[in-house]
Amino acid sequence: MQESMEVAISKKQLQKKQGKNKFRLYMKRNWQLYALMILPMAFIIIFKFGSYFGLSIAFKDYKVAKGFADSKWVGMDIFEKIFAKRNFGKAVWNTLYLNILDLIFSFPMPILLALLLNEIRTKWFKKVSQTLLYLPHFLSWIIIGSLAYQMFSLSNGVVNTIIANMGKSPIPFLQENTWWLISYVAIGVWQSMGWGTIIYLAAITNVNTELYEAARVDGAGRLKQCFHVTLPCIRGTIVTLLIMNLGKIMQGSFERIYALSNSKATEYATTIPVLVYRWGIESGKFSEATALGLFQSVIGLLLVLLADKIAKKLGEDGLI
Amino acid sequence: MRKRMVTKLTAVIVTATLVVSMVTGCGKSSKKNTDTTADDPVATQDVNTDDTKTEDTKEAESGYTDYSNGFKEQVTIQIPVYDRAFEGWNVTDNYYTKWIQSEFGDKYNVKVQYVAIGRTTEVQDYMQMIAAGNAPDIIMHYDMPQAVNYYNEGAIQDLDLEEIAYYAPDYYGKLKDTIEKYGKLDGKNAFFFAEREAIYYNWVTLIRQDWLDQVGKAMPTNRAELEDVARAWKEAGLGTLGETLLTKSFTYEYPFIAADTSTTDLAKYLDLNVAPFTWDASKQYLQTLNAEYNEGLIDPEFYLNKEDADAKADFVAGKTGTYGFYINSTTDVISSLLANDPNAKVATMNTGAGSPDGKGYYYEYPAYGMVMGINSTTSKEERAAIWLFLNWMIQDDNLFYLQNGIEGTNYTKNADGIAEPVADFNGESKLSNNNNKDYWCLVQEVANYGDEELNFKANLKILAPAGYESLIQDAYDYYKQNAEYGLITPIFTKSIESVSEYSADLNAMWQEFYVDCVTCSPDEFESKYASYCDEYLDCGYQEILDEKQELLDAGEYLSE
Repeated sequence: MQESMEVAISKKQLQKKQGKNKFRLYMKRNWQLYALMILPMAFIIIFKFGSYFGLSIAFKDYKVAKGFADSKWVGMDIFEKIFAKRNFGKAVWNTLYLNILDLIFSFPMPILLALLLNEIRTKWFKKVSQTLLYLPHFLSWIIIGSLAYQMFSLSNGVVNTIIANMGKSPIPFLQENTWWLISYVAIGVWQSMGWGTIIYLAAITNVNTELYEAARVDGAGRLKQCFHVTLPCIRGTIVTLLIMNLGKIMQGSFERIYALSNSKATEYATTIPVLVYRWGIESGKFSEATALGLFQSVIGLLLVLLADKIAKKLGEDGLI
Repeated sequence: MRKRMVTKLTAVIVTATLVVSMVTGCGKSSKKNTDTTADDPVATQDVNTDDTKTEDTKEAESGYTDYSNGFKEQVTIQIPVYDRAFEGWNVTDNYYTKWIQSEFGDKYNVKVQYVAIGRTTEVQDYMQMIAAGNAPDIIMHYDMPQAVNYYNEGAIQDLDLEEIAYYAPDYYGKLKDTIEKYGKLDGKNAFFFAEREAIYYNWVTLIRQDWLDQVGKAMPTNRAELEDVARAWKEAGLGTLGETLLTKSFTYEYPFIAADTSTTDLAKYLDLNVAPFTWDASKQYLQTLNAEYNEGLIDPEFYLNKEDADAKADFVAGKTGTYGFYINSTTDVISSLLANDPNAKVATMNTGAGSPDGKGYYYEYPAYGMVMGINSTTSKEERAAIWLFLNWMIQDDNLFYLQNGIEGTNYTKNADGIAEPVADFNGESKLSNNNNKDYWCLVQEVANYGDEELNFKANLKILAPAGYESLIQDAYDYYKQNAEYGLITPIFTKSIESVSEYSADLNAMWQEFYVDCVTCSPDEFESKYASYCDEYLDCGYQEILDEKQELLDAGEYLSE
């Protein structure tokens, strides 16, 4: 009994020793890789984790001139205050609503587009159309916003001028709540769909060509190949991107709303990022803005974790 | 095993960073803290005595160090300057900032460093700089309520008036009464000011005279006549009345204020920072605008005109027939309009045309110009340098040079002693597009020859584009006709906390509500206005009114 215990202990020690040696050997072999990691790690630590300290002002009555340390702690007062604000519920709802609409319309478009691009056989045509599709991604939202007003405004817009010339009454694309929502989503789809195809196209090139041959032998046409070979093969990519998009469902782009909104159609334009901007930047209420941002991030994190769990249940890899 | 090591390592690094950042954060703030206590005027006087001094700087009896021969070690003062984005003009480094440095800075061994503040984003810029600890030594704003906000944020230190009197006798001599009367907040001396000899004829609403002639209408003298004009323009297919989105400096309601309004109501509702949405004058204004909008008399997309440039573009393009702005001889509005339409003629609109009975009340400027405070992190040497700077700038010669440039180059003096700008001067010493106002606004708001007639003659040259002197003459005459209707916004001698708490939210609400009230159909107006009023009161406006009422009851305000 005692003997066997001693053996066990010495075995453990041996393993430990071996482990240490192994680690040393491993580091000796791979230290360059870790050295390469230092810079990006430093970036994340300094600029992402380093700024976490500032989150403390969500629990303080932050006065700019007093700074972080000297402002009073007020517990959850700031949160109680923002939850009671008139716009808070509306902003949360709008943020979710706009992002869900985006998920429904913007998320599938790149997949569809990638499948279509993949089927183009003429090389130059494929290249030209890809370039044109990528282009909107590189435009700033401010430019897209002013383009949108040039195109769609009621009295000056090109589109409405054409409609008026055809003898029909102009459409308030950006100046009525429901129309604004439609324009918002449509412009978003236009802006992002081209860029989104890149990852899917990369995934598609990885699909084993033998599978297509086998499908053809079995008599599948190009449409059937699409559905039964390409799509199942890029399912992992789709799920990964879906999880990442679900994580963004509480965020939403500030610039996009800021560039497209006006004081006439405000129903859907009050979102969390807009409130953070209004409170934090415009009126200098940094505590409230930080609290709202923190609330948004926490909900966002929960959503990612939830999506990841679901993906794992469905038999995919997940993110974490 | 390996994995655990890596996790541990990461955890250690993360914790270490957090600890380090916390320590550095605290360290910095606590240092700032001690600075602030040393800045306390009372403390400063004691500190003064055991301060390291040179032999040649004498200790005055009052306890202030004499710096009239300059500082022994160079002192840097940061002076804010509004950046109005004039083309080809570097606000922080130009002929005049260099001149200031050589004339004032080098004499006193002070480095005058200008800090640009965006004119339309000034509050944001200031708040961010205050938070970052690099705000200029002077914290300024044209309106008292926002200046009070800065004070409430703790960004402004209390003033020692004797210290100002000691270092800046000429400046203090001129502004003593103003500083003592308006500069107090919660019983402490918080603000100092620039002097203001207010003029009202620099705000001009241009109207298309050629359009008036075309439809055979005379210059409108009240709102009904103005609407008649707009109706005739509409029928002739000409254009609409110009209108912009109101987002700040709320004075829209003035022309609609009833003659029998009580002074307490005026004190409660008049506020540049918070729109008095629920006040009767507002309702009159909104209802008038609603009727005009639905009849197609005003720009149907006025709510897209967020900036002055948008309204200007509409006027220049001939889409609107009226446009209000601060006129200056260098303005390009008229020349651009003529380039688009060589037959265009402009006139100054009667100021009464905005109000229902033609006797419009208007916003009367307070007795002071710029409202300024000293940054809470400014040291006593820097403060002394600022007082010396203000005293230097308020000297007639220096001020005149800043306002007019070099005699014989920028201007010639006429028989009255008035500077007449040289037309189209474009040399090195060219003034900024508003005659360097953003530099000398620290001591004076409007150039002053000490006599109204002389001032008018001088301003005529400064304000009117060549050949358009009649615009200013008319503006002056209209102002004279209406002069009795000026209303001064009362100043509360205590800070109103609910204003700083709710003004941003109320402002966002105002934009949403007012645009909807103007653009809805006339039948819906009453019900919409009523429900918006309830919401507006609920979301903070009632609290503001209550707090103001309390201060009024306690007599904590100045009404002149």
